[in-house]
Amino acid sequence: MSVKKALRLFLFFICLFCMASCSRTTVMVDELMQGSGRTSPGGILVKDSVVKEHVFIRLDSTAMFGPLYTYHLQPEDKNKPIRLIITGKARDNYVRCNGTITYFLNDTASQYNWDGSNILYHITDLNKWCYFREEIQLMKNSSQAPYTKICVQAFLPNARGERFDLDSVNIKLVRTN
Amino acid sequence: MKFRLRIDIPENVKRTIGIFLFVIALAWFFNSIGLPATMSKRPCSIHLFGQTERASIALNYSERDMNFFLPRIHKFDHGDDGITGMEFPLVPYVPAICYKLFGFNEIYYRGFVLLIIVAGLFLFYQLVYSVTKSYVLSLGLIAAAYFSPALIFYSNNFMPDVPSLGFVLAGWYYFFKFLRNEQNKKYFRIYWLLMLLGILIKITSFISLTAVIGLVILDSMGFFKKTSERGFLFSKNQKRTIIVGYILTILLVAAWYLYARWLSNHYKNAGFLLSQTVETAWAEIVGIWSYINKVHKYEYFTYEGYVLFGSLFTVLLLGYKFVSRLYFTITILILIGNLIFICLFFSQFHDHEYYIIPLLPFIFMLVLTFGDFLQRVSLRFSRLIYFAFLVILFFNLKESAAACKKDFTLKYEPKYIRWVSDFESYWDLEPKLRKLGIKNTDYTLAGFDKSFCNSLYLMNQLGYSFDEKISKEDLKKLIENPRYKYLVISDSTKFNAFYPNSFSQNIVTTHRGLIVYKLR
Repeated sequence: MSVKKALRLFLFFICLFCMASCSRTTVMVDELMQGSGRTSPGGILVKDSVVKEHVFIRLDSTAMFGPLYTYHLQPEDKNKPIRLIITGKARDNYVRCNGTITYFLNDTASQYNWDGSNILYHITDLNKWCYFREEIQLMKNSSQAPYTKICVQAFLPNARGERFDLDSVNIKLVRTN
Repeated sequence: MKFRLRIDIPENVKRTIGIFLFVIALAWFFNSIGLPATMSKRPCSIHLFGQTERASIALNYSERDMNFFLPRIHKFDHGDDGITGMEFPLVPYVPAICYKLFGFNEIYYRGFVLLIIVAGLFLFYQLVYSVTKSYVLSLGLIAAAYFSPALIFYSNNFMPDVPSLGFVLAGWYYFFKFLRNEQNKKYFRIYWLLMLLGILIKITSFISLTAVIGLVILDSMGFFKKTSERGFLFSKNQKRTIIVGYILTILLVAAWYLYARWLSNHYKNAGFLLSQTVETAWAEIVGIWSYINKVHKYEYFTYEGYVLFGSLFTVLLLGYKFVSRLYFTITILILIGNLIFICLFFSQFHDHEYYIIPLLPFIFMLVLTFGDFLQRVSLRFSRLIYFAFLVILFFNLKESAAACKKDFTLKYEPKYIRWVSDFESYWDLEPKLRKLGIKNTDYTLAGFDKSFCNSLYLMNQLGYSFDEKISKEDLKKLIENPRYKYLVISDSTKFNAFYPNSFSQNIVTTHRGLIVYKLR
């Protein structure tokens, strides 16, 4: 094999290696599981009809909140983009499901952001458990928005006979470097 | 006594290193902005209307008829076949072949568009290298021109603007090859074919071809007498070839657009805008200008991009003595063409940030001119100028890349996608419909859809879509039309306000907020 050919081959493999190793580095900040991470009660705890020990959360009246999950920001989170990843199962009896997973960013005095993701897009079948995964990019914790905690809560703004159930909720906070 | 270490690297090794640099830089950049994750995404985000129309053409080619000259769309406006007139459908046709061979997946469409622009960028990179003789500088300059948030977002999209730009950039590469190798007709043919394709796909690209005619005219007037070694730029033979090519292009493009219009009229299906309006009211122009300033300004280029291009242009004007007359003339001719286009069709820039893409050859020619200028100046005065510019460019690109990444990430955020076009529920409806025995040829009504065929394409159903503006009489007529078998509604409350007759007994399925009714 000539030197030129060897060089080409070497560069090709370097190329492949670099392409394969290019990825975004993310750091898991916190993980809150349903039941373990809640900091306040909310919703109704309903016993599963099949597995009696298992309970899930039900929201069935207007302006009803689910349990509150809170994460207090650490110094290393300062000015870093944080991504909120919420997974779990949802069930609803209304086609245009009103249930949302809301999040708010605040400190002791102010609230900097309040927003949410509609679970409607995940309800593929009525009255059946549907798995969902929502990813939300949070605003940077900057001098303009010096929030100290991130709160996540299920919310049913409008009920009118609707039953919005949530189960196995897992909230991950990932810091992108 | 001075010692200088000089390593002579053979040209082909340099070439390999150049290719390697380009591939690595591109792979790194695409990875860092998260482009691979968007490759297999369904049409989404901004300008979904235009995206689904093109994607619909590709899917209809593969599923209904591969006749290139009869492009079809999912929505039957007034006709029966969905045949519609459009720009030259080469871009949807190639993915359609892939759908036929490997099965439907929009990654082929996105991949094909990405391939064209990457090829165009690569050839232009080679062109810049042929002038600067530095791969690092060429790469930096190409990156500067490419770092337009709009161009990056549409690089793996369904819109025709980016492929058109890709063809034009490749066309310029072959134009200079043709200029340097007069005897080799092959280069002219490739240049002409690439330019023709670029223009057929997006007529705005005509500016680049017209700039060449401008060169021919200026050359005939003796404009390049002093700068060219031969005393002229083009030989008589070259001039004749260029003019014949230009006339032939006009004829072919005119023929295609006349045919496209005829298709739309004959088959009564006008899915694509085949004409543009000229805005003359001053108040409107001011309104559009302030809107562009507010919304689109940083989608065209980043702040750093504006600073860089402004500086490059100013430096070229100040150092005119060292500027290549040929490259700078082309830059100015394209700029004039761009300005004329902007003046004539200014209203189109109101809602279409991607209209900037076919105007970008100006930026590419600007960086080429500057690359040549820098080479001359650094050789004449000091090599330090070259390194100083590289340092400035590095920091400029760093900031620019970060801004582009932010824009790209935002446009694929689920929240943004839902905000600009709420059609996510349709993305995976098709398998459910097929499972229920609903064929895609079972004509379907879809409401409420303000676009032409977003909902119909995404669920792959032929039929008709309507929005909230439909009158009760028209809706009644549609529902009573025996042709339509199914009705897909995104908002039943809204629908019942229009059409109080209850279909609740006819619900076939529900899916992510959608209700599918069987009409008959």
